[in-house]
Amino acid sequence: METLVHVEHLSKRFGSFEAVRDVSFAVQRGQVYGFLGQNGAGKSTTLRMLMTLIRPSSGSIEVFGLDLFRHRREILRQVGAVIEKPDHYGYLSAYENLRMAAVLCGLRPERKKLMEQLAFVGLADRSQSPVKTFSQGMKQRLGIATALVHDPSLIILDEPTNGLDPLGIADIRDLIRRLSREQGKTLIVSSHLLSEIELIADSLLILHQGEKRMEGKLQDLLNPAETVAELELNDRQLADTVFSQTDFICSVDWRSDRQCCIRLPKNRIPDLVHRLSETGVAIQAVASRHSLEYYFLQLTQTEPHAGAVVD
Amino acid sequence: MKTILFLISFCWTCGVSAQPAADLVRAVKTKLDRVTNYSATGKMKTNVIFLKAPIARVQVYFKKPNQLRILNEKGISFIPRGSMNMDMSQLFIDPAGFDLLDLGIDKKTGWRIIKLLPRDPNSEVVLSTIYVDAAAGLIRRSSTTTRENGTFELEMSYGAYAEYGLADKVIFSFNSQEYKLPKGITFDYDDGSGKKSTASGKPTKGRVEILYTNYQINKGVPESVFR
Amino acid sequence: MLALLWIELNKIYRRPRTYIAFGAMAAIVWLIQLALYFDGQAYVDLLLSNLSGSFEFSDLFKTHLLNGYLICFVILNTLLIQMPLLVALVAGDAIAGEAAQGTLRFQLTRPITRAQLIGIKFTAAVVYVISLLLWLAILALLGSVLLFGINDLVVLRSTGIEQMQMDDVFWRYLAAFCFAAVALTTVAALSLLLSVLADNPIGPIISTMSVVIVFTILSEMNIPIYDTTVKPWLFTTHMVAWKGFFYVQADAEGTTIRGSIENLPAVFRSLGILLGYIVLFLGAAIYIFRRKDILT
Repeated sequence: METLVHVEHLSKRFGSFEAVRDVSFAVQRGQVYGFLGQNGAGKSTTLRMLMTLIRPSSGSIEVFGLDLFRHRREILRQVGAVIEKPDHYGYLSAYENLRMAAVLCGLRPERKKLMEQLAFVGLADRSQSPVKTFSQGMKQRLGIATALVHDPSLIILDEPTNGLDPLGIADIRDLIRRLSREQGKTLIVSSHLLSEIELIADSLLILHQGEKRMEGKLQDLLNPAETVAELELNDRQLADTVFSQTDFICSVDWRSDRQCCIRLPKNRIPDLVHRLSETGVAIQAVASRHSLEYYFLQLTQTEPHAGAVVD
Repeated sequence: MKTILFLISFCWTCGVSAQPAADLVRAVKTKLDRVTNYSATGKMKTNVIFLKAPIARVQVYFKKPNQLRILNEKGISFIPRGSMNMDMSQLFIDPAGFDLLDLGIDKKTGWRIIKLLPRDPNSEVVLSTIYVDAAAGLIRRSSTTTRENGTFELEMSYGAYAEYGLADKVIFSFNSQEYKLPKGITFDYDDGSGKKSTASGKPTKGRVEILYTNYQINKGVPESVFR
Repeated sequence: MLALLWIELNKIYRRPRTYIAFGAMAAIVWLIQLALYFDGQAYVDLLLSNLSGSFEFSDLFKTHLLNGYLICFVILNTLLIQMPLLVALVAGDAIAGEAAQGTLRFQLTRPITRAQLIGIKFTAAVVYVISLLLWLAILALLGSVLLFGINDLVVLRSTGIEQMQMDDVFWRYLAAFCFAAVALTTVAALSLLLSVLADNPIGPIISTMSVVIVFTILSEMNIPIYDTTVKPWLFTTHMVAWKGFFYVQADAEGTTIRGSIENLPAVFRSLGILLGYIVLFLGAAIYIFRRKDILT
């Protein structure tokens, strides 16, 4: 597979604050590559560096095999992006904004082509309306249209579902899927929503406090056979004895004296509950968590007892 | 200036002292008396230290006894105060008194120099001097010192209208008062030449030169031009 | 490039607030014209009060004096000091305004260089300056000429009076408007530089005005220590050099020399200094902008 984006030891420092620290990753052609992290994890800073909006303090970025900052124009001709929120000229119409984006890309756009692109994102009937009258979802769709106007091979979407209602989120998700599946585009999509990334990404990069915590294919992370049981118990010592004697348990993670997360095969939760009860450990609550969510929480928790904020 | 000329006239009327000078002045007056009004076109050149002005085409109107108006009917011309004294007939309009003092003949020009000293101690005119071309019966130059307005000087050259005592060219010198405007109003451009102003800010001499052509003598001048 | 410039101009001229500047200018010009139309005599008397000891002024003189050319000069004298604010409104907004509304990302994620973008913004600001001056020429020169007619132009300086014949004036206005375009372009370049440094247009607009006001005060103040050290290098000192076209040469007898300019080399020197400032401001803007992290 061809590597489209190759990032090595990327760091960005703003004064004494290091927003991104030694991040490396690679995006293959045709992938939907997810950037996952809490707010302030360094996703946007990394994506801004990919779009040359921010100059890295150190590290290298190669896109299409070329050094990004040396071949900026050449590379950006093949990249479309919506960084953070899609801002447009509110007093201009959707059509005019799209036309402007095309001209900025060095194109001489035909009306028919632009209208087709607006139709692709479902804005054909509002092409002449001023953008200031648009809903957030419409603006997001127009943002995607402007990112696609020059038919780029690589599309970067930063938090594309931010501020959208569930219907809007579904729309954008559908659009991303169509771009990937129907048009074979490579996409880098960032989000702080695990559920979103999970639904659209092939590969995933988890950033936390500016550092890479994990990179891998989603199918490898989503082990269908495993799950995480979250238990609330009355006796940690006794429970630990049970856990140590139970061979099917993969890992134990105590979150507090009463709460723990146990990674184990999906079908063995009843067995575990049974063993604990037999030993006299009172189980006050049992919940099954998705393994990716558990991963994410594990990776993004700096304090052992702090709860991760995941939407 | 005007007052001085009144005094000259008075002196002449009274026939006091300096009889030869009085004769000369009488001869001049006789010439000037032939003109009751005139209009003339002229080219006026203004030379005042703080003023840069182009040569202007002006219209000069005169009507006895003492009305004179210089008008630039199409453009703009700065007309000095006291310019009505440019007409020599102003010498003879009032029978006020003064003493004539014959200073003899100017060696260089051959003109007769006559000083006029007002008898009235409150007279605006302190002293006036006229230079008369005796042969032609024409005043060639005059200088009048006033209490309030400094000194006016006139220099006349005659040509085609000499028989009427009307000059072809008059140079009128006068004292111009100081001129200065605050820089905060004018927002001048300082060109960095370090050249100080053309004006010193103090009273200086100004000069107006009029070259007359096309006199229309005694053909009437409407009163309206003097308003 | 032309297509990009067209887009930039489209943005400027499609924005309703752009026309506030045009409206403000029209209001000022019309107010001055209206005041002088109905009470010009009082204004002329005020102008001439310093001269009435030496000269007598007829009504005809005053009528001729108060002509379209003089009124245009009065308007330019008043407005060209205020116009930097109007220029700053657009040039100060060029980068910082886009940064504030997030559209800078929209532009910089496209395959155009930052130097190109600054070049386009600057060119658009120049076009805006020219359009403002054209509007001013229509209102102040054409409007005043139609309302008051033409005659010789008398320009009052702090230490002297310049008089030009009416057929020797129009070309001076053409030259003055061209010079004013360069002077205001200097303000546009400064504003653009400050705009690059900010993420909100208010900052560069106010900063530009502050710089212009402070420098203008320094330029106009008579402080000997500044006269030879600071003043010759302030761009505001040279912004008023358009007046140099209305300072005429005179011969030994004080007669205006037709078609002359008192100190043309000084006007060219001022032009050179202003162009130098434009290059400096623009160069600094490009240098800084190329290194700037876009965080908005």
